[in-house]
Amino acid sequence: MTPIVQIDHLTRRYRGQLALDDVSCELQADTVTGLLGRNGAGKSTLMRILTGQEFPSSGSVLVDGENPLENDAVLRRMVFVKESQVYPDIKVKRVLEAASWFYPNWDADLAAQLMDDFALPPNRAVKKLSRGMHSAVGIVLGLSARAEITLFDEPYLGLDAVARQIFYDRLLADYAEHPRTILLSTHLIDEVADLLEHVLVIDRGRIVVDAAARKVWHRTGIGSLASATVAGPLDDLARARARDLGLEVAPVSLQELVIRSARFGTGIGTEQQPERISA
Amino acid sequence: MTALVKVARLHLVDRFSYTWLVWGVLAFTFVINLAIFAVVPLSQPSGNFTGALVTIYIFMIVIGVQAATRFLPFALTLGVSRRTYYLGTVLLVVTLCALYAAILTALWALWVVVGVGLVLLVTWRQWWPAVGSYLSELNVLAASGMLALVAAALAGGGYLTIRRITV
Repeated sequence: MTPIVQIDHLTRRYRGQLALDDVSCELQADTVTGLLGRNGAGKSTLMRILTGQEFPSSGSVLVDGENPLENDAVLRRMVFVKESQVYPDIKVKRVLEAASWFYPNWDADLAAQLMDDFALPPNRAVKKLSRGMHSAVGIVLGLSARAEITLFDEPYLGLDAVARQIFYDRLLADYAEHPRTILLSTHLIDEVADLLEHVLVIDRGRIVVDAAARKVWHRTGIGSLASATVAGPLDDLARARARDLGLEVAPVSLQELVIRSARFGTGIGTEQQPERISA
Repeated sequence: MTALVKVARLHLVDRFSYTWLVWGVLAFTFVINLAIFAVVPLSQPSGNFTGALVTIYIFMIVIGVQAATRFLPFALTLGVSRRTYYLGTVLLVVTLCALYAAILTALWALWVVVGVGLVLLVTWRQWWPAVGSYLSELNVLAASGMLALVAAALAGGGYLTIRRITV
C-alpha cells in the first residue's frame, strides 16, 4: 500500500476558530476511506484543502508528492463533489456533458445508467431539481468521472434510502472494476460501514480515529441492561474477570465508536480496538 | 492551452445567455426603436440615437457575475485551478468581444447597403452614416483606448482577487 495523499500537521484557523488542529494522516491509493465526524468537525475543510479549494494556515498536504494548490497537473486527477454543489444555470445533461470534457476516463455509459437509476430528467434545469435529484447529479458526475482521486462530501443530502443504497452499490461495483482512491465523508455511518476499508474520525478539528475499518467495527445485538465502551482491547486478565462477573465483551459498531470518540474526545489509534462491555 | 479552451467551452455550455438573451434582446430593442423613430420626428439634426447597444454591456456584466458565483465553483469541482479558470474566462471574453464587434460591424455595413437600395430607408439612412462618422472620430478612438486600459486594469485586479478566493 502506498499513500497517495499525505497530510502533515495541517492546521486551518478561521477568525479565532480552529477548523483543523494539527491533522496528520494519509490516504492509501485505491482504497475507500470514510471521513466521519459531527457537523462542523472539520470534514469539509479537510476535503477542500485536499483539493486546493481552501488554504491551509500551516502544515502541508501532498497529493502524489505535490502540493495540490493551483496545481493543474494534480487537480485534473481529482473530482470533488460537495454537499449542495453549485452548478451553473443549465440542464442536467449539459452539466454532465461539460464534466465529460475534463475527465479522460469519463464513462458515458455509466452516466446514462446512473441517470436511469436515479430517474434523473436530462432536460430539466438543475435549479428546478428536487433536493434529492440535485444530490443525484453530483453522484452521477463523481462516479462517471472515474477520477483517480474521488472525493464525496456528504453527497446524499435529500436522497431517499433506496437511492442511497443505489449509490453505495454502484460505487462499490464501479470501484471493484476500476479501483481508485475514494474519500467519502458522511453522517450515515452504519449505512456506509460495509463500504469502507479505512476510517478517519475527526472531531473538533482533530483526527481521533485513524484505522482500518475491519478493526474498528463489528455489529452486536443490544439487549443488555447497561453497557460501557472502553478504548483499547482488554487483556486476558480483564477478559477473565469480565467473564467471572457475567459480563459480555464485544467490539463496538462503527457508528457507536464515532459517537463515543466524538463525545468524549478519546483518541483511538490503529493499535487499539475499542470494545463494549455489557451486563 | 487545451485546458483554457475547455474552460471557455464550459462557459458556452450556457448557450441561452450568449445567444438568445444578448442578441434576441438587442434585436427586439432595435425593432422597437425603429418603430418609434418611424412615428416621431427627428429630435436632432444629426439623427436619432438610443443607448440600445448598452444591452450587450449589461448582459456581459450579468454573465460576468455568474462566472464568479456559479461557474467558478463548478470548475473547481472539475479539478480546474483558479489560474486556469481565470485565463480561460479571459480567453472567452476577448474572443467574444472580437466576435460581437465583428457582428455589429457586419450588421452596420449590411444596413448601409440595404438602406441605399430602399426608398423606405432614406429617412433612417442619415442615422447610420452618423454612427459611422461617430466611430471614425479620433476622440472616440481615444475614449475606446481609455476604456481598454480601464478594462485591463480591472482584469488584473480580478486575477489578484481570484487567486485567494474560496467557494
